[in-house]
Amino acid sequence: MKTFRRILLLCLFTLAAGLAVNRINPRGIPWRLLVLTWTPGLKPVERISAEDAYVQMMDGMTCFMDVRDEKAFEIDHISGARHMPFLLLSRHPGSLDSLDRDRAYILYDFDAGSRIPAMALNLMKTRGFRNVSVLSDGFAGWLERGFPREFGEAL
Amino acid sequence: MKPDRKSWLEKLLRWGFGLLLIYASWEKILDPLDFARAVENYRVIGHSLSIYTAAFLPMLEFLTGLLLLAGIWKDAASAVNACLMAVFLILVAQAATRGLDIECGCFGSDESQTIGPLKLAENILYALLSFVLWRLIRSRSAGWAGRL
Repeated sequence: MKTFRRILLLCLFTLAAGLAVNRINPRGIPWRLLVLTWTPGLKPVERISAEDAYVQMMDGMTCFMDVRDEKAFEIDHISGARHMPFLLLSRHPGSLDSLDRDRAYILYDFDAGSRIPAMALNLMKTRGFRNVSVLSDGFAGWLERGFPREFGEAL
Repeated sequence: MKPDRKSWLEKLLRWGFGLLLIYASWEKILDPLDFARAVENYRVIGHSLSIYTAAFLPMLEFLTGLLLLAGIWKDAASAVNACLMAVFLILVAQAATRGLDIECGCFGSDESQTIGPLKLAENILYALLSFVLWRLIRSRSAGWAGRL
């Protein structure tokens, strides 16, 4: 029984220390990401197929936002995409304030099944962005269709 | 086994696992998102759970390692250590069985050891030794030192 109590206390210390260290560590997992991840079933989000997104891109109507980390973005990304890593977004949602809220945005991760763009979308909606959607096939689907991509660092 | 030898074996295992856990947790604590990706690669838990695992598991490893090194709450720390090693063994075994070509992620992103027979053997050894440590500490604290 004593051992069990100690294990329980160790788990509680772990929770507290885990939260504290992740808050202090600049590369840590921010609590916002933990909260957003906890949300059981995110609200259904607007999704757009790669073909429709490509049409919008050609019309110059939309801005692609890549929510992956820097390394992945530097390897390749959708042509003209803006780099907005989710880690940065969840730590500093205020960084969205420099963007035009009336513009259309399409968010994407590499995999189609990733929840990260949906979490980023929900965050953007809470900051007043109305026209935001998620690329349903992800960057992987975009590449499969041979749509344009570019290489290099974020501007 | 003589009580003296058991005491030395216990100390050796405690310090060994203590150092191992602290070393293994360090990189993961510094770069938890990288560790989350490594966890997700095992394809056992989804993205959400891998984020939570990455946020808290390294800290559990670190604190357990500290307790083992310091010799405080040895019973609880050795039990948690044995559970951790068993879980790691199961994860590595299932990945090896499914033929997943992934990096282990056991010691953070710096380690480039992939899942294979060597890694599996290493994890079996860790799991066995952690079980021995737990039994040693348990038998000593329960007062039936001569039975193991």
